[in-house]
Amino acid sequence: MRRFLLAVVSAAVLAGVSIAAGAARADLPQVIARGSAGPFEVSVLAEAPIRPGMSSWIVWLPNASTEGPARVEIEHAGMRASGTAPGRVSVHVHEARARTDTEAEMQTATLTIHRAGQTGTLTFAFAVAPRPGLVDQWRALSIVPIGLLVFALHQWRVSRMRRAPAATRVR
Amino acid sequence: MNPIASAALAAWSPPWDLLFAATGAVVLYWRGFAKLRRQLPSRFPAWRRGCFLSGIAVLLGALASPLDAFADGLLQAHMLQHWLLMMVAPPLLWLGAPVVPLMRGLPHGWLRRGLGPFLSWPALRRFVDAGVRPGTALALWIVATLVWHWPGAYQAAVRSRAWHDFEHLSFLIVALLFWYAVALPWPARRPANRAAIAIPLGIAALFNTIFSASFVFSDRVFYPVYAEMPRLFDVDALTDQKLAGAFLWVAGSLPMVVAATLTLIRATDTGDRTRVAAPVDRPGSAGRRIATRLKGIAAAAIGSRRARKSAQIVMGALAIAIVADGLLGPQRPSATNLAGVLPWTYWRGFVVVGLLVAGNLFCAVCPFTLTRALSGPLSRRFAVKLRWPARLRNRWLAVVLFAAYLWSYEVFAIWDRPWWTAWLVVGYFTASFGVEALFGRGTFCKHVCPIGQFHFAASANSPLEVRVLAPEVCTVCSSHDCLRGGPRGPGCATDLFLPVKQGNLDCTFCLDCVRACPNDNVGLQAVTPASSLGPARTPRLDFAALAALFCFGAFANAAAMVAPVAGMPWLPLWLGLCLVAVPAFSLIGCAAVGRFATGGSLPKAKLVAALAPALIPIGFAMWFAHFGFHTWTAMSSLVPAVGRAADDLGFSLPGAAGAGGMAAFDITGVEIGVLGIGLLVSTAVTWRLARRQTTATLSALAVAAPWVLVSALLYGLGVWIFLQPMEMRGMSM
Repeated sequence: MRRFLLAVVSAAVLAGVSIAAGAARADLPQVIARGSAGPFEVSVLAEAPIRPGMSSWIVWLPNASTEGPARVEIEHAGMRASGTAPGRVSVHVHEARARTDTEAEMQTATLTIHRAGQTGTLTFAFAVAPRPGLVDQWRALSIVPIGLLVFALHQWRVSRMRRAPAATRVR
Repeated sequence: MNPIASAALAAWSPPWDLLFAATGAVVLYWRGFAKLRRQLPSRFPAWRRGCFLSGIAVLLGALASPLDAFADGLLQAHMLQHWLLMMVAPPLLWLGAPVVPLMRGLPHGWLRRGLGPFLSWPALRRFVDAGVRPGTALALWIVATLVWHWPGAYQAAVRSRAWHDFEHLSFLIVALLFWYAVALPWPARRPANRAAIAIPLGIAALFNTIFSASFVFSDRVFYPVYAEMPRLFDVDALTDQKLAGAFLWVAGSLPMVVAATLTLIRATDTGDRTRVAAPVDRPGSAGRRIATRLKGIAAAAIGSRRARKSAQIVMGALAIAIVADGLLGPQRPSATNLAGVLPWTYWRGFVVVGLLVAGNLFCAVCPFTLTRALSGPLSRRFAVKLRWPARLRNRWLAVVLFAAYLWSYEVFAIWDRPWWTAWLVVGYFTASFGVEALFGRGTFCKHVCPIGQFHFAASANSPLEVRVLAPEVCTVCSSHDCLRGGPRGPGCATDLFLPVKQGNLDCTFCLDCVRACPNDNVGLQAVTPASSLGPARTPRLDFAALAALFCFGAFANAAAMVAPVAGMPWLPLWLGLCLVAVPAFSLIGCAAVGRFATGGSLPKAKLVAALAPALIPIGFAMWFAHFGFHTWTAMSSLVPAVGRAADDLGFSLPGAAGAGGMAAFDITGVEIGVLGIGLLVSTAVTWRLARRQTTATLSALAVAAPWVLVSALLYGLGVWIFLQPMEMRGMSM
């Protein structure tokens, strides 16, 4: 039994790894734009695909090293969001999150970065996918009705077997 | 690479459900085959295993490989998919004789009690027998092929993922039926005239020829959808159609011809086919030796007190890092602080995974109990030993603390405040130390710790349990070292007496009882998840309250993170209602319906205490899906946080600057699937518990119905939550 469990766990891990290895459409952050904004090399991450509604964006300034905090502004569809990337001595991620209400089509956003007297702007286009529907998840949703049907049949069979002669039962 | 091909590949995502189903089938088959091969080596030679595994590989190649990405743009790719699905995978699967190995791969109880009622169902047998008759199977094969290749249906399948999946499923089913009739895998009965199967095979080959020829010789494109699409590899739609037809013609007829030939040869072969049987059992085989050794090493590692202490020290060091960074490190963004990442992104996710695949692993290595080493001697030194108040010797205090924790977590956004997180950890250490010093070992875990109560409730779904190995040995034991402790070590800190222990409730997986038992009669055993929630448990209202809070808290916690709820006015009030009033009214309402249905014979309190634990599985499913989402989405967020902390300490970690890329995969389906399984388990447990309350089926249905309705409503809420945009904790500012 323990070996069985070990095998199940290993198989699940393997399957998970195999899933993770593939490039895929996802609701997880992925790079939606990358380029130079003046002196800054910028990557923008967001859940992918971006769908109508609130979305979280992350702006990365990978080589920010000793230049001090940056202020990041995102302008999109008439809405403006901004964030300050601190990390006085940090060389790592600088993020800003913008909550944007988006519609399903190609849209444009403008990113402005200010740091240590320098300013950079990056304009990029990104795709907005339609709002996800229940139909897209039909396989996951079908688990419940199928499971309930099997369970009901099972219980019905169990009750029938209780009434049936012992010779017909499976041991 | 062709840019359109690149785009198609980039848009492809592996079907998680198929991968998991295939993995499960392989595990079951492998396990069952190994058992059968020891008993019937001549019937289960190694090549059969190879055939089955090849069949699974072909199936995955057809449906879970980048081939699927090209199927929507290239008819040849789609026909290759259909060929693999209908003519290659099914015969390979049946040649593996998978029926009995798959059944024997299941745990015995699941086979007997789960599958048994279906296997002995005469109507089901008749239905299957009718489906695998060669004539029926051939007719279904032809109908499915014609219907799905009719332009309307075919184009609907190309345009819609759902129809495409349904098309493939129907092809696979009819092909399995058809090839079953051809291969007749053991233990199928062989007909007297085996050669007669060549007739349906011949008809199928003829049908395939006509069908394929229509593609080859037609001058118009059958499926305009391909003409509208950007062309892959510069092949126009008509040429693509002709090539697809030619492929089907040759490759599609080949398996039929081979199968018919082999069947005729075997039917006319009268030679002696007796084989020399291989050795029945090989206890000394290399694989078995390795397995035994692995088991021994794993058991030694798990059971070792030193290993546990080492793990606790590691966890303690992490707790100190959280406190230090939380108090001294940058507060914004919280994702760059260890106190913002380690507990809320990693710890919670890993804890629920551990609970699902093993058991209460966190309590086993809980760093907060490290202070016991100090509190024990101190209390002895100063002779301070109070008795925990009798009124608090239950779960009510822990339930209140758990509710307060869930409420304050959202209202004060503790996940986004490293300073608060650090003080929470400090407070935990202090409380554990104080309670243990004043009231004795285990009091904090059993009566106070809200995290422990979460784990106790969740571990009802775990597949492992600390249990007595042979109950009869305990009947003659008088020392009860598992409880009181003895020369081999301390007994159970939470006062569990192993012979009467039910499930994992109050079990911290410390394995002290395993080490203390003088008869070596306690061990970690595999159990059916959620079985301990069944009728054997003694109903208690405090546990019912914990179960309800555990379940409703899961949904309230997740709902508070999605946009429509997070922006609500009066959120603290709503959250309080969801954590206290809604569960209370739900439980009382369900019990009132049950009482009414049973003619007032059952007290409401008894019904609540008995049936509320059935909510635990769906609650756990929600916790698992929710925490799993955060851990998955922010899996690499540790790197920048550790890099930042190392920078502050004057170190520099190469590579940390560029880290943070995410594995991209849509897990909404996984979340919904997990929640669906939780609903099913909750429903099954509810039914078992309801049957315990009343023997009449209709009354039991009436007792169970409101509880199932509550679970179903929670499921609907959960699906809605998963379809909303969710805060990316551990990643955002």
